[in-house]
Amino acid sequence: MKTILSSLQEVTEIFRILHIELIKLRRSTMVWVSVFGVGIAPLLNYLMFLSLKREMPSQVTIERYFEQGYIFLSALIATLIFGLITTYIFSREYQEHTLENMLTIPVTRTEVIINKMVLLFIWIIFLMLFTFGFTILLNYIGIFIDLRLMILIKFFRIYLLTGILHFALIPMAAFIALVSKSYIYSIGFGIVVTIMSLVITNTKYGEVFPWALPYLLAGYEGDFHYPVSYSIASLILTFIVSLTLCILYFNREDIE
Amino acid sequence: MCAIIKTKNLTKYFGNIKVVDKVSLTVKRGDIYGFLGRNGAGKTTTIKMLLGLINPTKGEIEVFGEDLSKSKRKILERVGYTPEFSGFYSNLTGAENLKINTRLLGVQKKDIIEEVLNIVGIWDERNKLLKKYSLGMKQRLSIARSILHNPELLILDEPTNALDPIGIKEVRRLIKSLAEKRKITVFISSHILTEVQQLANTIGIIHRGRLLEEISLDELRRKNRRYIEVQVNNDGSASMILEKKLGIYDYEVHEEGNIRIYSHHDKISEVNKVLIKSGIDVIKLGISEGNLEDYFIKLTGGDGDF
Repeated sequence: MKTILSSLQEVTEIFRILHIELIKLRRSTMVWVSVFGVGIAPLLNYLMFLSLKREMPSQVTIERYFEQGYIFLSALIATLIFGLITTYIFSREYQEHTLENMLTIPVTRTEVIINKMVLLFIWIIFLMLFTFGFTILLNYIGIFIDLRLMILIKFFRIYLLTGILHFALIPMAAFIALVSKSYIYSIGFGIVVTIMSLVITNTKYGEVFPWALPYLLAGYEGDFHYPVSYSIASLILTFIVSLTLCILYFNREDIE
Repeated sequence: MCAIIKTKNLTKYFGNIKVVDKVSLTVKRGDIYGFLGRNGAGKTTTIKMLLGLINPTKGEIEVFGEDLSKSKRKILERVGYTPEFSGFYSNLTGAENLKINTRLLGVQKKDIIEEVLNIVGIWDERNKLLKKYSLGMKQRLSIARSILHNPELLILDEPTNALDPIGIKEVRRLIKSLAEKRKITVFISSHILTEVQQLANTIGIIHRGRLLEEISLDELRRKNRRYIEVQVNNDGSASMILEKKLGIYDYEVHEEGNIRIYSHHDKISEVNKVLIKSGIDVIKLGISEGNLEDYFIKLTGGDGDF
């Protein structure tokens, strides 16, 4: 009984903290920037398929439509946008001088990091689901490919999994934001790893390069050079190491 | 009186620079403690160490009798803090900003936001976005935020910085009334001597990271009272004459031959006549004005600027 009660309390606490983080996002332009940012992927895909439908209608299939949109999102846009919202969530506390207030109330610094991570997880999943929904919606504005349930389920799973895998890379962006307290280094890092991923994805090294892995693992069909456990280990290790760095750095930092 | 804050040899280095140097201060329950020092004297760093925002290089901090490094969370539940530069979420309204704190602090009391906004006088501005708040309004909101959980200790870092004279007066009145009505112990830092003088009952003077003096305002005033200064050839006889012939008892022999009379300022000529008639040589006679500013300048080695 006691265990159930304490678990209930923990769940209530998470929702309470989450509610606080959500209040902070009211009227925030970053919410719209992130929605617009990820929306570029299905929009580009849509424009491409509109033209393809006119020129090579035989090439237009529902599977290709989803796959191409997914490539735009995962390989080009996701790392940058998710890095941007992570930087916003952490840097704004320094830039708006709100950190002093947050850290002089009875909340531990580790709790602050964890709460922000929970918010980012939900934000990322929301953006992935929005992109998935927007891709479907755009199909009904001039393309009209017949949707097949099996394909829809397959890509729903891929979008969701991509969100979860991208989340594992978030603590590194958070760490850079904590140390630099600015957008420049975080965005610079996002651009560098995105370019590296684009170059490396089609080589065997992409299978162990964490920033190439959301794309590779979400659509994994058993065709890797290395055992897939190496890829999973690489991603998990990146998550644990960077989250630990965040917690250690933030706990030791002087708030000047 | 038990100590609410007690530090022992509190020291902080930033790199090789010593910013706070062996500060040992004591704030008693019910005090309004004025922490006075020039810009860059080490006030904010000391305050941030008291709140656990900056880790001390050396030294100990006790708040409410508990070691800050061990019981930080428990201590912070009883402390309110108004930083020098009050940070708020600019995309939110004043009330929404406070709502975040009530949630974080777990304040259950209904209408607490209305109550504190009324205390600081900005209830009517509650639905304005923070980006539309003036500096003075932000400072009041910051004070409102710091009293949401009814703290026993309120720490304010230069709360009147950049405010206009009316704003300064209002904030000062607000702090005084909080200390009196809510029985809050107040620790307030400032670089303005007159401000500390008007608010505090105990003053700690920090200069180049070192706490030069910790003194009650009464003691400070006593040290700096207006007085008749008489330089005579025989202070013993002169003292007896002052007492017996003029009924003056509120005086002290400051140095050899130098007497300071703290009362009877209107009887300066009579003092002169009586002493001369009694055969005492009066070498110097005049009224001296105690000046706190001069006192602090002297204390800080001549380069103070309060």
